Amino acid sequence: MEKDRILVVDDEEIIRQLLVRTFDKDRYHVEAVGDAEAALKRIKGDSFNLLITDLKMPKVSGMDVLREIKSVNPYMEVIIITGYPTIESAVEAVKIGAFDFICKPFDLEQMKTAVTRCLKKQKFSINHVKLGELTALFEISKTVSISTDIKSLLARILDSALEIVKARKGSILLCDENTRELTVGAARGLSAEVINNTRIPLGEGIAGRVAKEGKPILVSGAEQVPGLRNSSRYETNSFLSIPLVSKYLDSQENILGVINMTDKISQESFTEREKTLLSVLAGQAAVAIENANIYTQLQSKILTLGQTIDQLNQTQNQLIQSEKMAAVGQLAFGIAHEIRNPLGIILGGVEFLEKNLVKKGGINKEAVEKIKQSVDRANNIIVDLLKFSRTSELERQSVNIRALMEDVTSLIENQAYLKDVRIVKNYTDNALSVLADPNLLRQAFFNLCINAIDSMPKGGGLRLNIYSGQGAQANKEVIIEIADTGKGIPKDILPRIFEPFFTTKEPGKGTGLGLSIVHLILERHKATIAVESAVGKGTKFTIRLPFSLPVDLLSEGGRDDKKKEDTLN
Amino acid sequence: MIRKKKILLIDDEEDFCFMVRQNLEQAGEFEVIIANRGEEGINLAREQKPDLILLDIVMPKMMGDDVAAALISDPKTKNIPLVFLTAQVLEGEIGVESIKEIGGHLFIAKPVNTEKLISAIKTVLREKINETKIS
Repeated sequence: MEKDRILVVDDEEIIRQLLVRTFDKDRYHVEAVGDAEAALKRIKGDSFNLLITDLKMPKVSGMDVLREIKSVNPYMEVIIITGYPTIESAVEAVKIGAFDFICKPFDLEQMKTAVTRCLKKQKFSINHVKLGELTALFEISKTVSISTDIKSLLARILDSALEIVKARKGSILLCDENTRELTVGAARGLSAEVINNTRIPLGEGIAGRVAKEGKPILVSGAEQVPGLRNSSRYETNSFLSIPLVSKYLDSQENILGVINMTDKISQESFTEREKTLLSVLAGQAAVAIENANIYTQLQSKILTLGQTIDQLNQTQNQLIQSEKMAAVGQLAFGIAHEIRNPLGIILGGVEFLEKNLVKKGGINKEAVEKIKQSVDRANNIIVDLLKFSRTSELERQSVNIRALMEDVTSLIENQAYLKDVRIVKNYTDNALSVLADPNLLRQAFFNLCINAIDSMPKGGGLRLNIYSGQGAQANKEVIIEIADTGKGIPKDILPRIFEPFFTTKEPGKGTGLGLSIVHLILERHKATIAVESAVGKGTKFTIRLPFSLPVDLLSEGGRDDKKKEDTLN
Repeated sequence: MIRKKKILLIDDEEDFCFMVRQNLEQAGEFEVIIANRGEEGINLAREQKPDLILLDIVMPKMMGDDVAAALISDPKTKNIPLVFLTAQVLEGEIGVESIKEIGGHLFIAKPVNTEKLISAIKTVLREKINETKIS
């Protein structure tokens, strides 16, 4: 059984000798010193259960020693002896935490009884503390085992370890799988420089040795380890390093890292018991760290899988889209031939009938008009289909976007006027020219403007903005905004508006190809289109059209796109 | 009395040809002759020397652009103005340069109303007269 350790402090030699002799050497280890400074020095170097101190001593009093001890190690018991007892000093001593206050001259039996009681109480306190530690350990294990974020997990383990061994500084070093070096995963009381620059090869220094051998090391004094006292990391004389051993990995590479503890609050050395406690925590911590690592890996795998699935979906959609496009193209060509020819015959026929019979009153003029309108309607569907299938062929040339938009506005002005829609233009002064197919772009802008006007049957505003990209996009793209104050597009419909044949218009009013054509044309120009809409407030389309050539290479304001003069309208 | 302009319509759609002839001839200024195949059209053009040819593009055996090439290469027919009439193109889709490349003067998309067709024929004939005067 371990002996209880008692330190006696008294400036009187006779008292020191008396007390050293009084206690049974088999049960107690008793040392004696002559002044308070020697006592404090001794306590810092070694661990004692009890201090018996004289109250009145030269330089430092017994009361000061008591105060000092209680501040660094509240579990160490103190009995005060004095030849000059006063009520005040007795009360103060008890307040600070002295176990007993004994007056000189004292009865030896009285002293023995006091010491026995005192040590009994201390054991009870220590057991209480141990229970507290175990409870803390249990609680920590519980919280640690459910943490999945490695950074916060390491911080939590470290704080728990510091709490258990009552230390101020510490770190968790993790073993780098590739370099087989230890780096700082979490730290308390270390400088950022140390945290960032520490790389300890396995086998080097205390932590390196612990990591290599997988066994804890307890250093009670710096003198035991050469170089430790001068280490930039720690300025202490006691050091505890515990390995974090994997439960899953093979024995060769089963060290995850180490937990280092130093700078004990009591300034005493770390104890064997603390080493054991910390080893228990390290066992739990290792499992938690591995779980967190697995969780993180799993998370990243799930993320990658998610991205892959997204990409696959996207590719699949693109494939479906291009298949659809190809099909529509072929269909359009075939349908155009098969339907427009009979339409030509119907139109010719009805015109013939009109000329010959209407005059004679043999045919209703309104009926003739209806036939003609139906021919137009059927033809428009074919025209849209053809346009849709034509967007793949680009004839690029230098196009001034502002001039092109002016073309479009001249085409829609009349409709806007009739529907009481005010057109507000805001073009920057720059001659924003891009390399593009003017006919297709005109078509795209026209479709967007017509849709905007259609969305404002009771009038409103159509805002057209053109400006150059800002910041990193300066000289890289031109931005065209087409915004209306119309009905807006409901959220559930918004993702579908560019789908071919998707329309919200009444039958016969639209083919559902207008926005798909816009989308396709812009896609061919490597442009993007974004849409923002709020029901009842309006819709804004933002087109980002890249300059395909440096601006200075493009003829400013030059546009030689052909007018429609070469054909009949 | 002004001589009626002779228009040769080369198109494989017989009913379409019939309706166009009815409407153009009813207008009083045109005489319309018809060929439903490219080769037949070329022969008719050589024999009849029409004032203008309306030419379909998508036809069996010989396509419209091949017919055009044959007509242009023949001194007897090379000066006859050609107007392409087809269901597969869009209004404004083909530029003047491209039409000239294949020897045409104009592209008209089907279906076309008679008024437009007559106006187009007259425009081309007027241009042709001016060209001849200048040269």
